[in-house]
Order: sequence, then structure tokens, then C-alpha cells
Amino acid sequence: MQVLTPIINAIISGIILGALYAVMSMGLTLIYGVGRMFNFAHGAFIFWGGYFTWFFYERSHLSYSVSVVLGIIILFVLGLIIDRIILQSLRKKPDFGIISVLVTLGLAIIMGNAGDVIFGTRIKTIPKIIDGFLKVDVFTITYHDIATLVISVAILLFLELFLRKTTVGTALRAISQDSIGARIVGINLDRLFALTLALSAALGGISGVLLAPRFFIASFVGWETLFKAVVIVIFGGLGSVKGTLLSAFILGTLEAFVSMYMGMFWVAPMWFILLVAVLFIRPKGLFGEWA
Amino acid sequence: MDIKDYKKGILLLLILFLLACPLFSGPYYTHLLIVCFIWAVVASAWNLIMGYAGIYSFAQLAFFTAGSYGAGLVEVWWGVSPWVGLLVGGLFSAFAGLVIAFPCLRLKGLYICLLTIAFHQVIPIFIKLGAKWTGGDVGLMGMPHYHLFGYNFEGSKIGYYYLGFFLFLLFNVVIYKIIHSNIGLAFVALRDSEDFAESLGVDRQKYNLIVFVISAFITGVMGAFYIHYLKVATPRTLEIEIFAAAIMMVVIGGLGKFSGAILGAFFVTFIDEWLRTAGLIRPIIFGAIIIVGIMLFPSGLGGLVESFYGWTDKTLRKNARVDLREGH
Repeated sequence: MQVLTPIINAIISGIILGALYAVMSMGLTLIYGVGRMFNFAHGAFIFWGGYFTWFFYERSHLSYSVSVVLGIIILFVLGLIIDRIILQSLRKKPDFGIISVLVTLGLAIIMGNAGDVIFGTRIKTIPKIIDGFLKVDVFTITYHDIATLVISVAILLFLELFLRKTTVGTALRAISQDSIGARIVGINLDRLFALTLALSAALGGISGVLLAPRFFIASFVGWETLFKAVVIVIFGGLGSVKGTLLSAFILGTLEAFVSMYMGMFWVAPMWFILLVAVLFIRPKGLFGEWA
Repeated sequence: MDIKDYKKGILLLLILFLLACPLFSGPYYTHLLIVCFIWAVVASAWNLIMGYAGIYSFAQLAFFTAGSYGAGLVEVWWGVSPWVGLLVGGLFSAFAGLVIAFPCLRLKGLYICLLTIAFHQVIPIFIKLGAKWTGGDVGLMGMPHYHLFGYNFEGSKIGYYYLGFFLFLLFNVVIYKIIHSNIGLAFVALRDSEDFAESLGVDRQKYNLIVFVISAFITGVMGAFYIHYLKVATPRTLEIEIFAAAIMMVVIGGLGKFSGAILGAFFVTFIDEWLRTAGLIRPIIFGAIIIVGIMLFPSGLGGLVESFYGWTDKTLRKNARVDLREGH
């Protein structure tokens, strides 16, 4: 039992990290599935979620849950605006792949520094969802981690139900399988794309709130989380919900073990090495389609 | 007069102007022009891989850093001459290019883009892990200065100016020749119609490796030159502001336009300098320029130059026709 304790601890924290990372990267997967584009501004969405919550909670003294909800609503609307102003006109261009990369990189740079300008460069924190910890035998888990896990799993389940059971969800899946066919049967691509971007911004915002007590809120954290999300989504295969889930848990567990035995510093190099190894065997990630 | 003569004349004038520049420009503008030369080559090499070969590689600054550290490390720890350092930097960077090209061979489109960006992001971590040799965040210092026929480059910018100008001309001519050779034709063919090109026997994997290695080598040499000029190699070259500036060069220049990348580099370097006092707003302006550039001017400065030449060409031809008729 003595020997197993750290291993079990690592597995537990790996599962919690995995759930967190799954929520964090799911927005990217949805956007790629529907629009065949990669959204580099996702990292900015993530930490803006934290920023807004901090702003409403610490500065405007609203209650915690109201702050979170307000932040998510703002991000949802922001997603709609960004789609309307920037992406909608570009989507018809033949080289949309590279254009979307460059445009969203530009957007990420703007949002990253706008965050610093608006909210100040000082590193910010928001309190944990619930304080205290649970002690079972030799294992201790903070209530915050449990809450994170519960909320993440609830969001993922909700997302799954949304994609499987609702009309809009079915339409989204139809677009991701065959966008021309979807257009022929009368699905409004523009509107659904806007909805997806808004939804993914909101998902990023939620994950930003969940991540904030763990990693602080600052613009550089946006880039670090973006790097993690990038690795997770290509590891799992672009556009694959199942792949993103699986790779989030694999990489979360890897992170827990690496940071326990080798130190936090080695996490990113190990992720990268594992990513290259997987891409050598499966060039489209674990569950990417082979079209 | 033919359009080709016009082009040659303008080019010759520009080269003469740049050759004479340090005589009257003063140290500040000499410095800016040296920086322009360095970034013009980097942007040009990036344009070769992204614009001409159509590979969405974002590892250019990683190659640049690899070249600078490759040169810096052998010079500081083994006492290698800085002239050899240029070559070592290039070779080290070309090796990094090979390392990243191999997993990219089987990947397509966005996967390459994401993998190279992940590569870009892990390099600073490796530099920090090897802090004993690389100096970590502080950077690597103590590179020797260039000496040529007893002339010491230290203290004056003139030596660096002409060395930079030489490298700038050399590599841009090399890239121009590559674009207009059979290899360049293969790059463009693979970019525009991959399946068709492969069915005609163009070996995609071979040409992808070639373009990565060439682009990385050229960028690496400039990285090695850069650290001698700045006297320090730091992981800061991988930071988001420089990344944004480099993207801006390619975007403003116009993807797949030879003159574009060079013009873009000059344009962005000067804008960057003028905005130096803008502080936190500066990256926001950069991002806005990238977005507006893509939305409103997709063919960039290179497109502008091309349409100018096209217009001159048409006018010349019209005049020639008029001449013929009059002579008749």
C-alpha cells in the first residue's frame, strides 16, 4: 500500500486534470468539426473567462456564481460578434485553412494584450469553488478538485446529449460529416457556425474559471493553455469528440505522473515527444478521420 | 524598352542605394537596416516554405533560434571562429528542420501547422532545461566578434551592415533561383495540385524534406549572424511579439510573392520601431494589422508590386503598338 499511494494519487489527479483538459479543448474540436478551422484565439477565450469572473467577483463584488455566468454570457456574445465581423466573409475563400490560422493568431494576439490593457498586467487569482479537502485513509482530495471533476463531467455529458439528441446538435454533426450535403438539405451553415464559435468561446470561458485557481489568470497562461489544447486536439485527432476526450485523459494522467516523478518542467517536453510518437504511427491522431 | 529592363534598372538602383546607405544614414538607420536584412531573409525563407511549397510550417522562428544557439554554443564553449559559426548555425538549424520535417512528411495541412507551433513552444523549455550551457532565460553571451583581413567588426555598425547586406543579397538570390528552378516548379505543383503532381512523378516526400532543409539552413545562418550583432542569444526570439511581427511580414508582403516577403520585412521592421513607445498597445496594433491585411489586402505588398509591373508592362506594350502603327 505504501508503494501504491503515490501512484493512486497521480491517477486521481490525472483524472481530474483530464476532465479539465477535455472541457478546455472541446471548443477547439467543435470548431474544427463544423468549420474545418483551428481557432488560435481559444487560449484567449480561456483566460478571458477567468478575467471576467475575477472582474465581476473581485471588482464589482457580485456573487461568485453570478460572476461566472456573466463572464460566460459575455464570451458567448463575443464569439457571435467575432464570427459576424471577421470570419463570416473569409469562410468562402478557397484557402480558408491558412487564412483562418493567420486571422485567429492575430485575434489571439489582440485579445491577449487587450486583457492586459483592460484588466492590468498583475497576475490575478479567483478563489476556489469550495474550500477544504476530503481525507480518505491516506488520500486527500480538495473539494475544489471534486467540484471541478463533477462540473467538467456534467458539461461533457450535457454536450454529448446536445450533439446526439437535439436538432441543432444533429445539424452540427451533419455539417462535420459532409458540409456540402448539409447545405443541400437546407442547413444554414453560417448561423450554425456562429453558434459553434459562441459555444466554444463559452466552453473556453468555463474551463478558464475551472483552471484559474490552479494556474492563475494572465495573458501568458492563455498561450500555455493554448499549447496544451493544441497538443490534446491533434493527439486525439482534429474534430473527433471521442479522440479529444481520450487524449485529454491520457495526457492529463501523463502530466500527473511526470510532474510527480520528474517535475513540472518536463511536462511540456514529454507531451511533445508523445505527440510526435503518436503522429508517426497515426498521422491523423488517435481518432482523426482518414479522408 | 522591355519590362525586364525596367525591373533590372529599379533593382540596380535599389541595390546601389542600399550600398551607399551607411555613408549618410547615421548609426540609427544603419542599425534598422541591418535588422531589416536579417528579417527579410527569414521572411523570404518562410515564404518559400509557406507561400511556394504550401506547407503551413510555423517553425521558422524555432529554426532561427536553433541556428543562433547552434552557432553560439560551439563558439562560446569550443572557441570556434564566428565565420565557421555561421555555417554551424545553418547546419544545426537544417538538422532541426530535418527533425521536424520527418513527422511532417505524413501529415497534412493544419496538422503540420499545429505540430510546428507545438515545436516552437517547447524549444524555450529545452533551452531552460540546458541552462548550464545555454544561460537559460538570461541568454548566451560572449560570442567572439568577426574579423576580416585585420578589420575588427566590434564597435562599428559598418562591418555588420555590409556582411548583413551580403547575406541578404546572397540568400535572396538563392531563394529566387530555387523558385525559378525545377525544384521550385515542383514545390508549386505540389502546392496547387498535389495528387496530379504526384501522378506525374513528383516525389512529395523528397521535395518536402528539401524545402524544410533549405529554409531552415538559410534561417539558421541568419540566426547565427543575428546573435553576433546583438551580442546575446536568448529564448526571447520565440516570444509572441516577435512571432506576431514575423507573421505580419509574410501576411503584409503577400503569401507566395517573392518581392512581398522582403518588402513586408522592411515595412514591419520600421513600423515595429515607430511603435516602440506604444507599450502594451503595440501587439494589439500588430494583431489588427494582420487581420485587416488578410481581410482587405490578401495579396499584400507583393501583389501591389506585381500589379504595378503589370500596369507598366501594359503601358509599354501599348506605346510599342502605337509606334509600330506610326512607322507603318
